[in-house]
Amino acid sequence: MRQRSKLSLLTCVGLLSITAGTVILGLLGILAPAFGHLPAINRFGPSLQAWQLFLQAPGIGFSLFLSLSVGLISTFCAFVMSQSLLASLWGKKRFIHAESISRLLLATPHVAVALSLIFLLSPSGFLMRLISPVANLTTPLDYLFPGDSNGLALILGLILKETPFLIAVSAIAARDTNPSPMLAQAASLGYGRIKSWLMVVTPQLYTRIRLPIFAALAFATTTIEQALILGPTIPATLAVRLLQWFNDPDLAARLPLAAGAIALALCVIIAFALWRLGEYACSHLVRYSALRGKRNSTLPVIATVFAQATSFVLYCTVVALLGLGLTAFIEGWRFPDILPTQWTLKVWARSSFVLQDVAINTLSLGIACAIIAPTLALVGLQASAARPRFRMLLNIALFLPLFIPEATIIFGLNVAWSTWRMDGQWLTVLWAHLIYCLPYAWLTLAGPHKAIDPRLLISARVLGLGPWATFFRVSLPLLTAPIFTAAALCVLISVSLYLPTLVASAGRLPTLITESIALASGGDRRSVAVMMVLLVVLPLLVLEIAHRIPKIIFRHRRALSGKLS
Amino acid sequence: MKAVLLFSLVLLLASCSKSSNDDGKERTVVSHTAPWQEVVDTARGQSVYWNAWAGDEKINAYIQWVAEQVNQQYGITLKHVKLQDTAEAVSRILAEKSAGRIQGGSVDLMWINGENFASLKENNMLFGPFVEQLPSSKFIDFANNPSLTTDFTIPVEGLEAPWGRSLFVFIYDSQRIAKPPRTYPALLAWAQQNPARFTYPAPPNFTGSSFLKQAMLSLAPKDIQFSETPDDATFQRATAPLFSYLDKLHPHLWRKGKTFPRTGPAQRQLLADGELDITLSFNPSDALSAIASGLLPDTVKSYGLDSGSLGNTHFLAIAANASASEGARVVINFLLSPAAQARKADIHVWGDAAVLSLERLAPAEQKLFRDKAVAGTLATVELKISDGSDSYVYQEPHPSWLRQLENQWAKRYAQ
Repeated sequence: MRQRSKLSLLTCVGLLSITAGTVILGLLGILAPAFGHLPAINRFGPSLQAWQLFLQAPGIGFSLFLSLSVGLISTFCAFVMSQSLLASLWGKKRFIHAESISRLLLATPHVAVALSLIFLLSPSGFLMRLISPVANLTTPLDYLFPGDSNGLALILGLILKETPFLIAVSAIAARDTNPSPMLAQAASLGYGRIKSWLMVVTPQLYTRIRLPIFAALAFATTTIEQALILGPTIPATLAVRLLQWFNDPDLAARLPLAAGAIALALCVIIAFALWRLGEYACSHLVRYSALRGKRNSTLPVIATVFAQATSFVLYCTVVALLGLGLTAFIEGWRFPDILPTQWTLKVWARSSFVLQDVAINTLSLGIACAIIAPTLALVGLQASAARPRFRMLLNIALFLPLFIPEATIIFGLNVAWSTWRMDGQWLTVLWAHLIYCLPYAWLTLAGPHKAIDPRLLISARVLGLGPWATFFRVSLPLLTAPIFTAAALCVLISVSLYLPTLVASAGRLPTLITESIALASGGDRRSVAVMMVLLVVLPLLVLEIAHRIPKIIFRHRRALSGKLS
Repeated sequence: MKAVLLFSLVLLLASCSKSSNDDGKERTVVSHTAPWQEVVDTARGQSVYWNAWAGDEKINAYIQWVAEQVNQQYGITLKHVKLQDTAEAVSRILAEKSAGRIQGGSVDLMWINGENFASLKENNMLFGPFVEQLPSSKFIDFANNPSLTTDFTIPVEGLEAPWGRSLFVFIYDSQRIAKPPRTYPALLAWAQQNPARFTYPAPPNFTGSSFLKQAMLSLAPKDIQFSETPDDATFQRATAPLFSYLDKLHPHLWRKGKTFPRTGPAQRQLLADGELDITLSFNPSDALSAIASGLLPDTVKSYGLDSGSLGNTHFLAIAANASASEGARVVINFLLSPAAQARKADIHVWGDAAVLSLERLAPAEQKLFRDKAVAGTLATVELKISDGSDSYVYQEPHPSWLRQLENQWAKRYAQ
């Protein structure tokens, strides 16, 4: 018995070392060079040289401003759009549609969304081709998309990924809060549906979706993949500039890189603070508006318009994704032709040999994450079930990586990895992936784990099973479906991680995502489209499989459970 | 029990695992003066990591073919580490050097030239001199081709082997432009008449940097020495005409010069989309091979400017701390073989000019080149691009010019 508790303690410590330990290692790895200590290039700190170099970089002020504004604006828009959609469509059939589209987009990697936007909106894109016969265009117009210097294209791309995310988490939260009685009460006081939703339900939802919002805000402020494709180039956002410094052949660029990585983390803190201020202002507004008690206002009209726009935009994105996928099968498609003329499978034949390596790396990492992360999360949940303090610690440790910029942690870890000669190895890449898979596995399993009826467990213990035996024979079967969901989610995340894969593998383990971004800088849109098709189809397949397997297993379980009762 | 297993797994992950490259720690590298057979024997079974720019599918496919060949012929596993920029490999090698990793490095073979070569040479991180050791080097006429023995004015000294030759060309769609501009002033006039139909990739991308260098060389006062590091005054004097030219040109560029394509191929895509009328390339047969693979319409043509084109050679080098320097040498030797060079010169494969001298080849090997759509020697390619007139070829300036040029460009246009 005692040995068992020791074991579970050890497990918790192990989990902590993977998560918090890694984050701390990353932060140490970045703090040292940020204050001038980088023995690798014979700089010994402490000094402020790194900060001087960072602040002297051309256009750095604007880069900082861009990161902040892109993060805040896109998150705010996504928030407004998702809440409008919920307020005006909750409980209707159309919401179910919107939710399933959201799930689809949620599973789509950022790169694919960014490229499909280019496919749709660029001057020689699909939309302009549709308009061209009417507007009499023979050559594309010269407007700035993507890569406009204020980052509007990037904001749009981020909105398209954040809105589905917020719709999904809001929907889960809404089911938990059970809004019907509240709405009924508000309706009996003469308030319209949308107004009562926004005044009564949204504030309650907000407390539940606050953490996901902050995670989305942190992500949007520090994203690299979308910024590489849609973002401004001169100057680029701060996160992209970090990557440029990382690739600079002059190693002295590692100093401003380190300072910049710290600045990026500060950027996120500033974004959080500004968002907090916004929350404060909004809560006063809502309270004031609620106290005025106006029954008919323009608010529902605005919300409805937003909701319609949101669902329209989400549908458009799906269409654009399909169009992007089609470009993998065409030969030549000149402006202003609306439809391509020649169809071919040549590009697939040419890409097939590249794809072997890529497929092996991508799948092996994805599957390893899908097995390890849910297992660790389950053991951690089980081991910390009776230790609230440990549970707290684990919670904090696991979610740290979602709020500290990816670039800060990864570039810091790189200092450690290259010192210990660990970069370029499969295990190191797996380690980097686990940092980001574990929180989601934990999140997916924590609720169901908590929801297991304790009477079942007590019965099992009374019948003479030990705590772990109870876990294996009672809890585990009950958790089958969430475990598969968590595993599928881990595959999804693992497949879509760009920077951790690139840096940890030292470029030696090409995966779908690193390969597609490398190709996106090239000039063959068709081969990029091949990668995109795989990037979109693979996650959907995995989700589908994860959805089906438990059903198959449970079919037999039901027969068994009959005997047990 | 499970927990024990799990915990040991956690330990395994969290502990520093032994690098797979450390196997090479104990062995001595076959020196660059040893008999060739010894290199070939040691190379068998090695994995060679070739760090090469991967922005072009055709080149990637060629590298893949090379991997199959060296695997069959020499038992070498060749892996293409796909780079967006060769600087990535350079920074990795230098990081390894500073971490004291003098063996078992992660980069074996590199496709390299110019400032990246200069940077590695300066830091003594190149293996060699190895070129003389290669049997294939007998096909190369070093004595009569100075561009094969200096790289951006830096003496090569056998630390890198020439692999292919390039000239900077302009590519235009003859369906849209009847007479393309052939000098820099003409280009400016053309851009003013046709706003938003021309641009160049943003430096430090090499196609963009090359455009800047060629413009600088054409517009600068004639007495400037580009083969040495400039002092501030010289740099000012040499680049003043260039920057006043760019100030005039930028408002008439694609997107008014507010943003630039990221790479040469990305700009080629814009030409294909009809957003531009002119694109640029450092590969004279880029347009032909893009037409062959359906990326560009067959109305597209290439030409060199009358005021002169930038020419350079691209090379292959081995990192001093390579894990598989023998394998890398065998791969380079294969890349310089007539069969591999002829395949590379084929428009339908890549279309990159060979570095071999035809007269040094056996008749059967010469025939390999004659059968290609465009004979893959630089002489014929030069004729091809300059429509029969002799075009002046600028040698690359000293790498320090480019560093300053990029910084100045960023200060002026990237704020």
